[in-house]
Amino acid sequence: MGNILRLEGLTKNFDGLKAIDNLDLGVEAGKISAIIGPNGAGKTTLFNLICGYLYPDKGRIIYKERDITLLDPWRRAVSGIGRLFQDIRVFKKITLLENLLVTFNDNSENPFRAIFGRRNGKERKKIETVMKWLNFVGLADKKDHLAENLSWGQQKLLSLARLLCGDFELLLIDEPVSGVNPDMADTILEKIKELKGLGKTIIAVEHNMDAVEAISDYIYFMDSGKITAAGLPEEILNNQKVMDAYIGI
Amino acid sequence: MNYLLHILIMISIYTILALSLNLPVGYTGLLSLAQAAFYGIGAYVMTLLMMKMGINFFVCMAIAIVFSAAVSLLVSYPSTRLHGDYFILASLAFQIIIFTILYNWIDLTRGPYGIPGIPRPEILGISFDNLYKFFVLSGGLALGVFLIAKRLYSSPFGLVLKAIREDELSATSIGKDVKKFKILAFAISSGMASVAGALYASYVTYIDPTSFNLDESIFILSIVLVGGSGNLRGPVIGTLLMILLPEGLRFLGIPDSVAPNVRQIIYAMVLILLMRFRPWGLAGEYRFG
Amino acid sequence: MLLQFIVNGIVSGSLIAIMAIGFWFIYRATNLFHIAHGAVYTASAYVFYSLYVSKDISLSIALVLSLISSIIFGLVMYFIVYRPLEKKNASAGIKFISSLAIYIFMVNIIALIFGNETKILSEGLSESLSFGNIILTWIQVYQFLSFLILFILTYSFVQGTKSGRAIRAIGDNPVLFKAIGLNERWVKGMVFAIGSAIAGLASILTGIDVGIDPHIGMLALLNAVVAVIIGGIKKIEGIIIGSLLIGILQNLVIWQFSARWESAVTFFILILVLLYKSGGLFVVKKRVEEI
Repeated sequence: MGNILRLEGLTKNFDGLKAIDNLDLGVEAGKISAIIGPNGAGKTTLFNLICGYLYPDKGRIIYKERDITLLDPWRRAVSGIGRLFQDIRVFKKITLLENLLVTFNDNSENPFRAIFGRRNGKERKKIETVMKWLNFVGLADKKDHLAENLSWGQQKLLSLARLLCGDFELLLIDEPVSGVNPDMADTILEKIKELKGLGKTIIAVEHNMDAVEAISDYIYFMDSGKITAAGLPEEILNNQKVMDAYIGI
Repeated sequence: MNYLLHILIMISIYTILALSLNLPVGYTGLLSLAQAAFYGIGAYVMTLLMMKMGINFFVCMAIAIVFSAAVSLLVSYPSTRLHGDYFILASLAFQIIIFTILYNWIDLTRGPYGIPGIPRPEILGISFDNLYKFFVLSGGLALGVFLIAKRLYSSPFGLVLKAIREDELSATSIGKDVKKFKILAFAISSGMASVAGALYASYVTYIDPTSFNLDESIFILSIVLVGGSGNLRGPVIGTLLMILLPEGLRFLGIPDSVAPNVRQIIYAMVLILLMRFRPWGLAGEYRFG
Repeated sequence: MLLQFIVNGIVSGSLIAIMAIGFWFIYRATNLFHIAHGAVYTASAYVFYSLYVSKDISLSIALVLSLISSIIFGLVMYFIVYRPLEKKNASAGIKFISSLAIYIFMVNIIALIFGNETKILSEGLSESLSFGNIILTWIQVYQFLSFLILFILTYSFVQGTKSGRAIRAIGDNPVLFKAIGLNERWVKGMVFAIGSAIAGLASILTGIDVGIDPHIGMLALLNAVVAVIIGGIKKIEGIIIGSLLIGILQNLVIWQFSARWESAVTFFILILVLLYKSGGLFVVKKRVEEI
């Protein structure tokens, strides 16, 4: 399979500080890539550039052979780039069911259709899809609860389900197991591995090396806004130089 | 009986206003102090078209809806760039500007002198020229707005607005064009408000800018906050309460000279207590974060 | 003529500046959008009226008592209404609405007691001075001098004292402020006391010139808010410049068009600044890396 995402010479400065420095990266479709690196290496900034919450000073972002460098963030999402935020960001005061129902982007969201149109059978089909994904993450029995009543780990699962329900193809997952207990971490990692089986491409930022080792096909090591090493997990995790750079020796 | 009909007509007008403001406030999470401006735009556009060009009330009202929806861009655009206090402030500034225009563009609006002798609506030979008939009209329009609001609130559109209210960035990340939805919410909201304005003008048959000032905007917002927002029943309950309360005061024998002040004092105390102990209002859903 | 209007503008700008400094103290330390500051303004003018005009108490004693009353109004508002909301971590919207409600509450109490008509605080016309073509009344001179003195005092307080620096520190990072064990309650109480006293001063200085009615507070407050936003929240010098600019601009509008368009122009500028503020003006951007 080819590259679903290519970054070419990406550069982003904050007040003269190079957060991302002439970065090149190709992400192979259908694989799980992990980006590791010390705090402040620019990992989240990189995600924000790919999602369009920031625009680069230089360089290009190519998604499915299309230049999306200057595309609006919501259009990138529609075209299949999904994001799991480090701080989760589920819609807290609506139900789990509604959290997933809202992910469908179609013309039923047109207010004039809502007022004058007829309700059709589509709604039932959508609810079926939603229930499928709620089942997938094991939250189906809580479908009518408000999202704010879930535990932190459950909220992570819900936002994973949101990515699936929205049918995103490239998933940018920021710290999937931070702040959850070990059992929940195992569940989440298990689900992420299953996603690969569903044909999703995943880029994960993660600090927990066991988690990285458990899920990733490739590892990119990032430092000071650059990818300084890349390779298979066993290559990177056993590379003393990389690991020293990580813990800052 | 006339008194009762008058109350019912006022309730139908304010139900429309409350349901309209519910869309930006309770669904999209944008506190706006500009609703009386759209109410006033509706009243003035309808009145001027009807009196200067002799167009039928219902056509005038339709034009007023479109006009007011277009003007709402001046509020919805800031809402895409400003948050919290700054958006409230921008909406307040817009309200004051519209009021100043209505008050000072004397060639067009007669300013503080107001416009008297506004005719009652007519359609197909039926004239809504007494209280009974007018109540049928205003009640019918209020019911229409209620049904539209009901469909909107429970639609995928309403759900997207709620998602934006909860977390704009998150809504963007699942592919929602937040800007477009805010613009639509305000456009529909101000269209509805201008229906109320047209009704009010043709009911009272006289308008002047003071009916559409900042105090009125605060009053409409109070209705939504007291009743509660983010669902259908909150604004309706708020309207009933806020319109009937002053009538209740009248029965308590509070003299007319101080009644407006006493009323405002009660509203203000209710708001302070609600914001502290029950920010979702009496029957609302949205809890203000 | 132009020069006369600019001089008038500077004087009315200095009145706006006084109110803006008071609002700034509170906003800078608490991030509260204190609309009810306008009610403190109105109330202290009425206290002054009841003492000085109705009870014939001497000017200086009436002034001091009025300022003490405004401090009490401010502190009561903070500790009865705002502080519980802060403890509940209430949103900006809830605080804004509460503040608006306090304003409405107080203004209507005042209207109930004193009626809606304008009250005069001083009789007779003030004598005037002329410098060439420019005419100033003595009241205008006092207004401007009060502003200058207040500015110097507050500037040296904010820059030069520990309490003054605490105001900035608490506004910039309330969590850290609490964490290092500084007394947050005391600092916030202090800014409400100072800010409210300054509002009282502003209203009495203005009221002596043009009289008072129960609704003067809103416009005074909004002018101050516009000044603060135009000038930028971080520094007190900025809001002085903002206030003087608005004062001059409003007087030029009065001169060229009419007083009726004054507020439309002011608020139009407010919207523009809110939307397209350049560097130095406020709206603190959240850095996107933090998402």
